[in-house]
Amino acid sequence: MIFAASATEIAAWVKARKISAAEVLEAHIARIERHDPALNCFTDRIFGRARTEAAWVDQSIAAGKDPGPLAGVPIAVKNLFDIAGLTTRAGSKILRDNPPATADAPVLQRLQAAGAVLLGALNMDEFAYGFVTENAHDGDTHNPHDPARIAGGSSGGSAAAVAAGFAPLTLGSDTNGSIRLPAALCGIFGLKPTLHRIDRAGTFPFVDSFDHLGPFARSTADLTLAYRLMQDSDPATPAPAITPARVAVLDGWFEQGAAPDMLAAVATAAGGLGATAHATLPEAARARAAAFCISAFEGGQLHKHNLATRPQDFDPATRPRLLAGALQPAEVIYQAQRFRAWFRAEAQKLFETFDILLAPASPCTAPLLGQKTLTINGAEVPLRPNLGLYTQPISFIGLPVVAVPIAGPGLPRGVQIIAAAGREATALAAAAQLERAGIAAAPVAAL
Amino acid sequence: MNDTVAEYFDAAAALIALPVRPEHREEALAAFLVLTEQARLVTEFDLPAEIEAAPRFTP
Repeated sequence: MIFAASATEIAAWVKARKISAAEVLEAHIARIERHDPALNCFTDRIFGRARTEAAWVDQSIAAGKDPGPLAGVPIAVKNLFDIAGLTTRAGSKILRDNPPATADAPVLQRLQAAGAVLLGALNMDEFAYGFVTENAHDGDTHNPHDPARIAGGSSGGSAAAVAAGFAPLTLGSDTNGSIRLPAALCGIFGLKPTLHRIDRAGTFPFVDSFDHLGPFARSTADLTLAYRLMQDSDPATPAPAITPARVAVLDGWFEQGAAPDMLAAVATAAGGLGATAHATLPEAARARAAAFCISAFEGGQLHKHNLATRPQDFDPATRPRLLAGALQPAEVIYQAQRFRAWFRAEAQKLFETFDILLAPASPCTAPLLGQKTLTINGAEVPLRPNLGLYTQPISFIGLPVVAVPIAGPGLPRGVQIIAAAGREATALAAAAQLERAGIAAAPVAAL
Repeated sequence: MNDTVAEYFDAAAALIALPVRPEHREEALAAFLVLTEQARLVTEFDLPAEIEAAPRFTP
């Protein structure tokens, strides 16, 4: 079952000529053509280009050259990444009239220069403003572990494609949780690196203050490899040892409202890392509120012209929030950005004592498609804005996070492994430790 | 309070030339009320005077 192999395994097999890049590609195409009509991960399939790229990989190997560490690895990207020849539409109808991109996004070029084979573009919430990937223009993406449920969002297609075995590696973006949340709901690994660590050129923006790019994979080895390839400089920091006394579970806001099985997942991760400490990140509710306001404001201002001239062309789920966001008073945004500096300082104090902080990635397992509400602390609240309760305060200050899937029966449950800014290697090392112990695992969904 | 918010909403839309169509107003205003509740959490917090806004322009 080549579709269940990791990127690292595929590249090794292709380079050793145990299997050709063309065979790898055709196996993945066959799985996509069979199962994607039911899951709706892909919005654009570019299999002709992919076949050309796979042939180049095979020819390179036959000529004795090394195509790179992703030799013959099928990949795909959220449809806000530029792909030469395709219009970058960021899940929207409005951008469909734009001319096609003339070049791939630089970060995509990096993966392709390492031998990756691009399958196409993946579904998302319109303009990345959502946690559900229920898209009025491109349809809903279904969770491969239970197609009646959401894949999470906004990078829902990217997460579901990896969980479904359509590609071992995909790219997405995370502004308020859009990598961590779908990774958690789809039972795979996702990395949101430190803010500004990855070049955002060639991707359609949502919120300048918080936009991050990052990879999805079914192993920490693949996640680490992709992360290294996505950067200008290779921070090949040796994996640090995890000191149990320097790992803490975040309490307060990060425990309130979470379903018991989500807290159990965090406890399992903490146990796997030998952690017994708890820590409080103060005023996390205000951090979440500030992120909420800034996101709506910057997103609303970004789309102001189209909101004024063609509001009917927005997804009905997106339009009201962008309109409202654009109208906020300057005081709110200024104070939110001041609060951001204060909150960062509070987090930095915690990292004097701890290297790793743990928190749920979501308050619950994957909700049903079309579900409108969620129970938090005994109260019924709107689903869409509340799925990111535990991710928003962290991306608000740009900290690196690995979302890890905790092994077990039932629907996937994800945990955030949070490190200090610039310490991706620490978060990845902790994730790898859980994976080696069998505590974290991302099997391909049975379709 | 909601009347004040609605008045602000309509006035701000006019001021920044962002017309909100009648068929979109109810949902947009509801979203604005949610933002107002979140904004209160931010603006009611007393920050030290020396705290600077996070984005800083570097010439």
